[in-house]
Parts: sequence; C-alpha cells; structure tokens
Amino acid sequence: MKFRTMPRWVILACAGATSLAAAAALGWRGLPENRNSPSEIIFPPRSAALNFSHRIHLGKAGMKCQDCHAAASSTRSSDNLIPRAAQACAKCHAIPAEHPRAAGGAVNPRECRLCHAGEITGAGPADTVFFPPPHLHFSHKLHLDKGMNCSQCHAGVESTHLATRAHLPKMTSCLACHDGQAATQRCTACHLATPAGKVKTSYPNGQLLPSGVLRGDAHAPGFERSHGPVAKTGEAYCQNCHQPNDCLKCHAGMMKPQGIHPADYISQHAVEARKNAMDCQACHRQQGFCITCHQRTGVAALGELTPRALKIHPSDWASSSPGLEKNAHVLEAQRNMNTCVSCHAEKDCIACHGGKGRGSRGFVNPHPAGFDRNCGFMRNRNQTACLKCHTRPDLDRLCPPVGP
Amino acid sequence: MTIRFRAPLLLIAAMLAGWPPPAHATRYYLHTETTGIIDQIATAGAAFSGDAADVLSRRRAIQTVNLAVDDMTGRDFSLRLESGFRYAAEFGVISLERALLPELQHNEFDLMFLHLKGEEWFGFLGWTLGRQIRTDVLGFHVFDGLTVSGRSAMGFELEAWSGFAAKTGRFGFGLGEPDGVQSNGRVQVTSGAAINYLGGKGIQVRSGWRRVFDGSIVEERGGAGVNLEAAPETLRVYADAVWNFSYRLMDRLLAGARWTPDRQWAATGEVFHHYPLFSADSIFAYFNTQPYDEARARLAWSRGDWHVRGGYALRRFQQRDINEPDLPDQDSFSNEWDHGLLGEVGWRPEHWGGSVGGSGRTGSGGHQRLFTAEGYYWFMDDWFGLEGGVNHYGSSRDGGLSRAISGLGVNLAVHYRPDGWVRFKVLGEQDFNNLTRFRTRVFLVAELFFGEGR
Repeated sequence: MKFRTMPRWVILACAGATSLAAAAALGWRGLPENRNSPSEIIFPPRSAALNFSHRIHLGKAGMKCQDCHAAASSTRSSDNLIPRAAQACAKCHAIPAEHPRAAGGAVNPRECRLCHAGEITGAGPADTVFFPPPHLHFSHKLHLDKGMNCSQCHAGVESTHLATRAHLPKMTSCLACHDGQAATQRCTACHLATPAGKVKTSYPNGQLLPSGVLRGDAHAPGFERSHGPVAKTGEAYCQNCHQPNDCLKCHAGMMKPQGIHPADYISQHAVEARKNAMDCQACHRQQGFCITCHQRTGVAALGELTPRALKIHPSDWASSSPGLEKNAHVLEAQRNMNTCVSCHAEKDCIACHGGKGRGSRGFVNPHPAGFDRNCGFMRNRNQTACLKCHTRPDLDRLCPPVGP
Repeated sequence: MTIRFRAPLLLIAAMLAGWPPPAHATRYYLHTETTGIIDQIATAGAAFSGDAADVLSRRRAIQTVNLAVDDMTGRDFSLRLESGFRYAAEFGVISLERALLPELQHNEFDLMFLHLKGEEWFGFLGWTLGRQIRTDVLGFHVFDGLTVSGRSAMGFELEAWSGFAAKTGRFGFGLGEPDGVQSNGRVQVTSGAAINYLGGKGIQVRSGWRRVFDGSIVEERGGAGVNLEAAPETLRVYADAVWNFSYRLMDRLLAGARWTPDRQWAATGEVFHHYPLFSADSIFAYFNTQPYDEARARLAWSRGDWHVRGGYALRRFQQRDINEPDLPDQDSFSNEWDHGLLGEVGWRPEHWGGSVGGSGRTGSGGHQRLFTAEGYYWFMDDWFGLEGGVNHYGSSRDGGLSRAISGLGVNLAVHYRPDGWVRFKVLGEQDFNNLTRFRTRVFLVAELFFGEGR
C-alpha cells in the first residue's frame, strides 16, 4: 500500500465540509414535521372553524357516526359526508332555519359560539366550514357493507373533540386490506387515473408525490440520482405513475437534462466519468455515445484513421518497451476498463494485444496469470471474443476445448 | 423485415383481430415532442496539440411519439396499449465515423416500446406482448417477445419471458447495454425468469435470471435485490447482487442503508463492489482487469428552500504491484486507494435560487478538483428562465498531464404554454472556458398533448 501526501486543497475542503456539516447539525436543526397527516394533495386543505366534540357526541350523548354522517352508509363517493347543520345538528340543537342576521333579528354571539369558532361574519356556512372533495375514488357503502367500522379508517376520532387531518386515513392503513389478495392492489382502484391509465399526479393544488413510507421512494431533491434501489426491485410499482417514456427521457435520452447536467457540463464530465462510470452507463451507451463526440473533437485516438490525434495521454502511456513504468495504461485498464472503452474500440487493443496473425504490432499477452486454466470453460460458452485475437489453430494450441 | 421483428407484430395483430371487447369508451393519450438541436463546438485543438481549433457544427432533429390506450376491455381486468417511437436525424456526419463505427446510424428510427399489457386477468395473471423494456437488478433489457406473470396466494409473483433481443433486431436501440462490441448481426434470443415477493409489509424482493443466446451464450447473469424497511418510516436497507455465469464472477454487489429521522435529514451509507465485465463476445472482459470496491456516505439536510449536501467516498483498486516480480501462475496485486469528498449548499425558493458546491478526489488515480457555483431566475410567470454557472476543474497525476479548466456557462430558457395541449420550449446554452473558445447549444422543443384530462 502506498500513501501520498494529501494536497492542501483537500485538507481545506475537508475542513470546510466538516464545518458545514457541524453547523448544519448543531445550529440549523429544525423541528421534525408531522408524519401522521395524510397528503394535502389527496385531501386538500380544509377549514372547520367549529367547536365540536366527537368525544362528547359519541360518548356521553351515545350517538352513532351515522346519526350525523347519514350518507355514509349509502354513498359511493368519498365526498359529501359532512353534515349540514340544518339537517344533522338541528335534530338536537335549536338552530334557526334562517341565519338570524339574514332574518333581521339580533345576533347573540354566545349562542353562535356554542358551535362556531372564531369571528362570525354571517356569510354562511361556507365561510366557516370548507371541505373540498378528496382526490380519490372511495365508496363508503362498499366498505361498510363489507363489515368495516368507521374507526378502522378514522382511528381515534371517537376520543377527540374536533376531528383533524390526523383522523383521515393514510395509505398505509388502506394497504392493510388492499394487499392484492383480500382486496385489489391496483393503485387506480382508489387514485384518480390519467387517460394513459396511470395514477394522476398533477392537481390544481400541487403535485402528488410519494412520501417514501411505502418503499423509501420519497421524491425529494436528488431522487433522480438515487432511485435505483427502488426501481430495481419494483419496476411495476414505478409504472403505476410513470410511463415507459418517462424513464427513457433520461435513460435513452438525446437531449441534455438540465437538472442532471448543468451549464458547461461538458467541461466537467471527465471528472464524473472517471469516478462514476457506472452512473454514466445508466443513461449513455459508451461506444455509441462517447465515441462519436470524442472522435469528432479529436479526443479519441482511434488508430491511424484519426486525422488529428490529440495528446490526451502522457508519453510512454502505451509504449512498445516492456515494463509497467512505461505502460501506464495497464494500470488504468486494470482499474476500470470502462474508461478505456469510452474512447477505444476493440481494434485499438487488438493492434498490440492480438495473437499471432491478428495483431499488427506484435503480441503482448493481456490475460491475467493462470488464465490458461479457465479459458477452456469460457471458450466452451462463447469463443467469439477469442477468435477476434487468435486464429483457430493458435487458439486450439493455447486453449484446447474442454469436455462438457 | 426479419422474422424477429415480424413475429411479435403478427401476434399483436392476431390478438386485436380475434378478440372483440364489449362496446365502451376507451381512453387514449397521445404525446408528441419535436426537438431541434444546434451545436457549435470549438474543439480543444489549440490547447492539446497546438493545431488551430476547429468548429464542429452538429445539427440534430428528433421526433418522438408516445401513444397509450387504456381500458380496452371495459371489464375488471385491464388491457392497455403502450407505444413509443423516436426518429433522430443527424446532419453533417463525417465519413470517418461511419468507417470506424459502422453500426452507428445517423438517421435512426427507434421503436422504443410497443406492447399490449394485460393486468389482473382472472385476478392473478399479467402479461405483456410486444417490444418491452425490463428493468431490474440485472439492468435494462429491451426485447420483442412475451412476458407472463402470475401472483400466488402467498404473495409471490412468478415472471417468465422470452423473445428476441432488440439490440440486434430491427429498429433496436442499445439502451444501457454498454458491451463495447459491435453487433455481429446475429439474431439474439433472450429468455429469463424472476420471482418477486410482494407479500411482506415494508419489504420488496426480486430475484431474476437472464440469458442471451446467439448460437453461443452472449450473456448469462442472475441476481437478487431487496429493499427493506428496517425501522418504520426512518430506516431502510437495500442490497443487490449479480452473478455472471460466463465468467463465474460476482459482477456487482451493492449494500446500503438510508436513514431519514425526519423530513429534513437523510443519511445514506453504501458499500459497492464492481467487476467491470462485458458481454461474452467482447474482448475487454478477457484482459487482466480487476474489481474495485467503494464505501461512500452522504448526508443531506433540507428545510424550506435550503439544502445542504455532503459526502465522502473511499475507493479501493487492485493493481499489479510493479515492485513484485512476475510469477507464472499468480499476479501480485497491491491495494490502491482513492478518497473523494463533495459538498453543496443551495437555496431554491420558488422562482430563483442558487447553489455552491465542490468536490475533489485524490489518491492513486491522481488528483482532481471541481468547484461550481450556479444560480437561476425565472420571471414573467415562469415563462423565461435564466441560469448561469461558473466552474473550475483541475486534474493532475504523477508523471502525467495536468489540466486546469475554468469556465462560464449561461443557459437561457423560454417556456410558453398558450393552451393545455401545446407547449414550446427554447433552451440556449453558451459556454466559455480557457480550453475551448466557445460552445453554443440551442434546443428547440415543441410538445403536443392529446387525450382527455391531459
């Protein structure tokens, strides 16, 4: 193992990054956000400036959910379950049929505030209670008919006063039954669908994105670079929202995605390519993509056909003299052949490494020590590559076929 | 037209002709995108060789069409048609490129995907027929054929497919298949199988096998991946591994964990082992290449419009020890290490923002540094956008060439969407640096959307 002196800029960069991380950890730590609320895209923000206690009504008063939410047992909609005061509350409370101010009578704020919280503007119920419909397909009737209780989805509502977003169902509770066996697991059974049959994700109040609870797939900044583990184990899951073309826009793209590659990326790409060849390959086919530009700009030295081979590699990079000191390309090839392949085609290697009758500049054995012990097995499976460098008689002599 | 292209289309046609669905309204979605790309790139000739720099003029036109038809059965089980086509024309191709890489097509029609897809037939059966893209632990694979999957009562889903590899077929594109070899023109038959486990809460597992055969085995690999919620909503671990049967080697091994204690913090740690292998008909895999290992850690914090990211990577290479004598049966290798570090701070409110970042690498592969600063501003109801950035890149290597490049890049973007069914985009990029005098790129994009609810 060799140790080299670390350059000064690395030490400075380390110190800077450490300071930054420490500052972030110590000084900027924010409060954790509430994870118990369901999506505001599915259930748009609502207002309920009411004084109401589910606990009292369901407990002391001995009422049942359907006494107020009468439509629950018959509706096939996820909406329209909030009781109108005149219908539900007036069964027990003395509520005038018409708003007192509209009727020209005196308003007694104490009476109003029994139920209405905040400032009473008199503009009507919509001013104080606003429940926009959720962006879901859901049949209360179907679920109640199957014997479910209200509290299975609206857990805890019986012990609270005013129900909040926390008492709306989260998708994890739906999936307890919708597991593909007891009930369908198809996303569009509940989520609204696009004409292409995918989950609709674009709504006037924002973009519906995964929270990450199900598969660690929160579409946070940077997810475009870290989605691999999720996609590799659940391609079908991704395709519930994404069309195949969404993947191909990057993975077989022809237009530079600005979010991935910023301005003047062409100056920086060598850094990325040398450290993350695997990442480059996720979108770019090495030979087809790299070599066209490298060759046209003279960066690839492709044999004698290249009109203006530029000096990319240092002297003695691939010397005819023996010894690794004069053949530094050996080390680079051992480290990661992918970087070589981004510029060089097979024929460049064969010129020197080709066996008798194939290589035009002599023969330098590129195989690792002990290769002759395993070559028969590889030849049995596919000898196409062998015959690119060796003639058949040469190959039969060096690596005779082995039995099955 | 070859048999490998004709067979799946005939099957699709037979299916459409012989199967009358009940009368019902079918939904469709059509998206077209027309892109023109203008590149004016000054080569780095002067800086490298002393020659005068050339100006490379590259012009491209790309047309994509995507059509999806959903709900074709009108019943509980679904049937969907999905298709995507792309035509790309490149102008100004020089004959040298054709000589060196004959398979490169500069007027290229790609059939990206065209398949019928059935889901939940008889409650458990799914199938896909036609050109399709398969993505899993074994990477991307494009083929013309049939995939059938069935779900068992215990949460397992079995999947099997067979067909003709699109890479060597008609209108094929070599998506993510960087084998470094040119096509030999032979028909490649591909087949594979996979098993998914979908029954557990918070765990996904996929194990698959794939073989590509053209008279000899071109590729045969098997692998498995797991994505597991180790602690509810906070800790997730994942791993995947691929075994290459042709070389009897571990092609790839990745294991990682991601910790998200809240919505602001995310910490990721990964170890990665990779053996750069190619398909079995490539000579590159028979060279004395060695695997490399990497351990990397990332920490990200975001709150509101702010984000901070940092990371460290340690990579171990194995390379021939030049101080050791050659042995007949065994090479002597030494461990060589690279260290990498990156950091970024960004602020991204709704219409404008920016970030500053830097990364560096040092070790046996030489020393590299990269500093970037960028900012953007969108105005006029986000119709116009301006993005700019400066960067500095430097590299040096013991006994090798050193480079230092400082550059400035400016992007100008104009988006115009007069109606829901049409969108125009113009993106311009102008780069300057001390290596090349200028680079100019212009992208002109027109998109059309048809279908209800676009």
